[in-house]
Amino acid sequence: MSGLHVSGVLVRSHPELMSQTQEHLENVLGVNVYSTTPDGHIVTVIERDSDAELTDVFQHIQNAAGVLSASLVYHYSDKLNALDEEVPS
Amino acid sequence: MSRSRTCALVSILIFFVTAGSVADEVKSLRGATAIEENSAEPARTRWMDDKEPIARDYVQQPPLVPHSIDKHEIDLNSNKCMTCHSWAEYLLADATKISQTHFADREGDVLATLAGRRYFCKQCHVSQKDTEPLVENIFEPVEAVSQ
Amino acid sequence: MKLSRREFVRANAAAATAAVAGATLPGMKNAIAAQGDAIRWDKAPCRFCGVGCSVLVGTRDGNIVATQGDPEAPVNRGLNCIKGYFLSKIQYGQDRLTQPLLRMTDGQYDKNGEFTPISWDQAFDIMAEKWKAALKDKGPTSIGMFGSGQWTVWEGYAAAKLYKAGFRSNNIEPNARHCMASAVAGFIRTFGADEPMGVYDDLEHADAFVLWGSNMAEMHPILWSRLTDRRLTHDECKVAVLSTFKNRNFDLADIPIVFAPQTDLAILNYIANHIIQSGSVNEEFLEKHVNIRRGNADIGYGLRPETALEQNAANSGNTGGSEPMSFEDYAKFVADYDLDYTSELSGVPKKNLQALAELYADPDKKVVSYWTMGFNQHSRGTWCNNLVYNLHLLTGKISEPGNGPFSLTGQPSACGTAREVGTFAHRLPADLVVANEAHRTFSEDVWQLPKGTLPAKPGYHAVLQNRMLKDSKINAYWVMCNNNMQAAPNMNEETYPGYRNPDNFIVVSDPYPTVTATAADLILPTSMWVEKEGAYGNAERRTQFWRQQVRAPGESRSDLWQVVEFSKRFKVEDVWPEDLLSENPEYRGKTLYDVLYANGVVNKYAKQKVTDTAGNEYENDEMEHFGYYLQKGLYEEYRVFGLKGPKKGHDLGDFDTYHSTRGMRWPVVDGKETLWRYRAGHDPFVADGKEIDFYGKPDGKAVIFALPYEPAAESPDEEYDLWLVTGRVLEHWHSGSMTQRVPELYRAFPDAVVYMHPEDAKARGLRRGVAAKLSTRRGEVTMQVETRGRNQPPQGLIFAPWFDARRLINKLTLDATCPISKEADFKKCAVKVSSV
Repeated sequence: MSGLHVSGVLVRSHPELMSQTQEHLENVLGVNVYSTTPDGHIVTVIERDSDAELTDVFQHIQNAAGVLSASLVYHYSDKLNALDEEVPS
Repeated sequence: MSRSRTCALVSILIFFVTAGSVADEVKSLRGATAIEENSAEPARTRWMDDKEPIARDYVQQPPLVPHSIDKHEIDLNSNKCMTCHSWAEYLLADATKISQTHFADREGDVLATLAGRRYFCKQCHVSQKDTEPLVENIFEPVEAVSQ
Repeated sequence: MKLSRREFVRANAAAATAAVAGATLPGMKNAIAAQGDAIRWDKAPCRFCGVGCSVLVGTRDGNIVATQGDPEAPVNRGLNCIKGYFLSKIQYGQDRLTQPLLRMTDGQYDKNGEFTPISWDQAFDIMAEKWKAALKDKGPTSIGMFGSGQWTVWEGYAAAKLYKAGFRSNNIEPNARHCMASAVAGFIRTFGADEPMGVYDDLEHADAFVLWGSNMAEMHPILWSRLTDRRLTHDECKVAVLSTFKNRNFDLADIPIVFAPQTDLAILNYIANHIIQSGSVNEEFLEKHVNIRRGNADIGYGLRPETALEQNAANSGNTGGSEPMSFEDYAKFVADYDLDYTSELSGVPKKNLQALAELYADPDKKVVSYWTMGFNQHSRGTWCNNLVYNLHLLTGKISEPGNGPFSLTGQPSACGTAREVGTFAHRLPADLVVANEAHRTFSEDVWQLPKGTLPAKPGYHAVLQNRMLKDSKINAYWVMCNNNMQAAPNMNEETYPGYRNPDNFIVVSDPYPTVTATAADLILPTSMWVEKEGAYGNAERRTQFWRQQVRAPGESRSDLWQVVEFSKRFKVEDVWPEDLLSENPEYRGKTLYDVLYANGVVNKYAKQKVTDTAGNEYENDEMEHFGYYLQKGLYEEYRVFGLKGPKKGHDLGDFDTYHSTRGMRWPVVDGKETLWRYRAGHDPFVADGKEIDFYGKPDGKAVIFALPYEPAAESPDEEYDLWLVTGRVLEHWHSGSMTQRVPELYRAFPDAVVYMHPEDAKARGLRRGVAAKLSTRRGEVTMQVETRGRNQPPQGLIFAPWFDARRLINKLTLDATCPISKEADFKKCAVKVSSV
């Protein structure tokens, strides 16, 4: 297990280019699109095997066509092995 | 224990709690020292020794520094912290590398180096003295982090 | 549905990101909700300093579980300082007060009794009794209130109404008198209007930054981050730092300047002299937009009137007076401050003074001046403010991006609450003043009061309130949201005897048992920060709102609830004179609550759900209790002062918009904020045809004041041979009542230490790490010596912070003030240091 490297990234897209931008993001390895807003926000979560790969993906998103900006909102980085254990409720 | 004895015990307890209830003496962080009195000599404290990374109580908290940084200078010419914690040096130095978040500027553009806004590490990262807090803090972390 | 840790973290990431965008997460949100693991994120301005960073507060199951910097906030874009990062813990100190406590013996109030739990009803009973007795006996000047630049906007507004309109007393002051009064007096004298004309955006545009007595690296850290970024990415940008001791700001300084205390006055005049002599005056700007006046000198030190210093001052009776002056005479005045004299007096090498002066004189350099307590907590603090404005007015470097003077505010809402709402002994909302009849009449109209209700004579200011408590002139006193026993100067001679004077009844509202609370007679448990709906206004005129996130513990109530509930205990007959009532009989029988709050305006907005754009619902305990949207009603009534009042340019936006934005900078006109005031194209109040309009003054012109160097109130002498400077450190906010209860912040800096030069220590038989006794003519304290680290004083000066309740440095300080602003000088008095 190589650990857990997760970033929550808030992407701002040209409102007119929303669907293209969203599609592009969904095709990037490690990126999950969760939600969008009418004013051009796209809620994404990146998950990769290392921080270096996270940075690469983040940079890729920044440079993608239709993306006005990408903000790193959340970052979790862990070498824990017990990541697939259940979270107690 | 029988029900009636439990009731009796409970009612005795209530009596003692409500009769003549004076608050536990209200104390400021001065403890037992009155305002007019002079402060006691402070106890000597030491910085925590270089140890494993200190556990965080929530994910968004900036890591505490598990070693003294008294002599770690950061100025226009150099940044001592980066001699161990940069992405180039951290493996050799066996140190935690700085977060990916530190490479982005105000606008969110990712830079090739440590962003200027993150340059003075000590604004967010502090070391810890080996001493007990004056007052306990009952903040409870979310379970996933506290394990 | 159970989640693995991996899934849990993913869900957290999505939820956090969505919350920032105001987005909803269908499906995912339900799954999390069912799990009970959902963290709700909502924005709030930070509880601490005047920078006004925005944070996201994470709550779950009625508790705060995390906080983080708000990435969408223009102020801080996701960054916090170490204190901001630990906001989630400040409410959880184990010794939170949860019930009212009254000193009693045998079931009766006794000033020397033990603190005993009572109900809120009983608390208001005794308060009403004491207030009515004082009012009956000596009238409205015998009651007082000491409030706060950490009050929310509506708390300050409700309290100001209660005192000025209800009790007809102007004895309401904020602790902001200790930090920003000189800045206010400087603004009013020079520009006729309070608060900076620039914004934080200046940080990304300037060619030079000059820090005057501002420890920005520790006290406004996020602004320091922005400044650092500008300096590191633009090598031609220069940073000058002026302080009486070397501190963390010097790490970035191109022009580092350590000067002898008080000589900032001379350096400021020297720079003006240099600007004139080098032909760098912007003559067109001066001609069109500036008047010049000679200010009265020899104005005393704000000490008790019987002291020699006051008796001997020529103009202690007319401290703010001035007369017109020609440019030629002004040039002659500052010519006395030549390079030789100034270098000799201040101890600053000539080349540093020249380099500094050139930053201002060079017409191609955009320069921003920043200052805080070094200038304000100064016995000539108003003068310092006026003198730095002189430099920007002589050169026309003002009200444009990256170019202008910027007074930094210390507290989170000294601007938004204390100054803008006017919770001062001499003020009313929106820059109005009690002494002006037209201002009083306007306020009486807005507040639906009989003409003549509001008192015209200014009340007692902060330092004077402590003196009046000691002299038994104030007998019923309410302290809210500050720790003045620890914060005020000269504790042994004034503050402490005042509070313990048997003639006085002292009430303290606070979340924690502070030093001030333990000196009081009645303690009221008070809600903190996000335990109530609030609003703060930061240093760049940005007003920011927040929703209630969690409940307060036990019987704690917000300051707002306390003030408004208390008003129910008074009928107008108890507090207004008979002649006022006989002329306005329709008020008879009404309570102050009826008149001030249930007046058709403040209680106009019905109860409603409080929601964010994502559809989350929030509590509002005051709305529940009073039955209407109290905060909104107070705010919209207050807003009228800015929109329609006699002093223009104070417009605020509407209540609901602030809840959905990261704040707006006033004046807000047609929903649009104002960045650079007084400049055409930016400020909608600039008159047509004008490029610059200082419309706070009747003729639209700002004022350059000729003001001299004058020495401090108490300088080192043979016995007390060192300067004592007090201040703060990064890790602790103010008196430490919040930060000292966060373990990580406590451990980062547990005890106050005295920073001194190693040679000074050695000469006194001391060295690093040993305990030393610090004493002045007024008191003493013991602290450990520190000869290294972040602060490196020159010989002859020591620095001690005031965050430590166990080491009350204000036992030593002097209650000398700027005689114009009435702000105490916490940076200068004479101390001696010896081994214990």
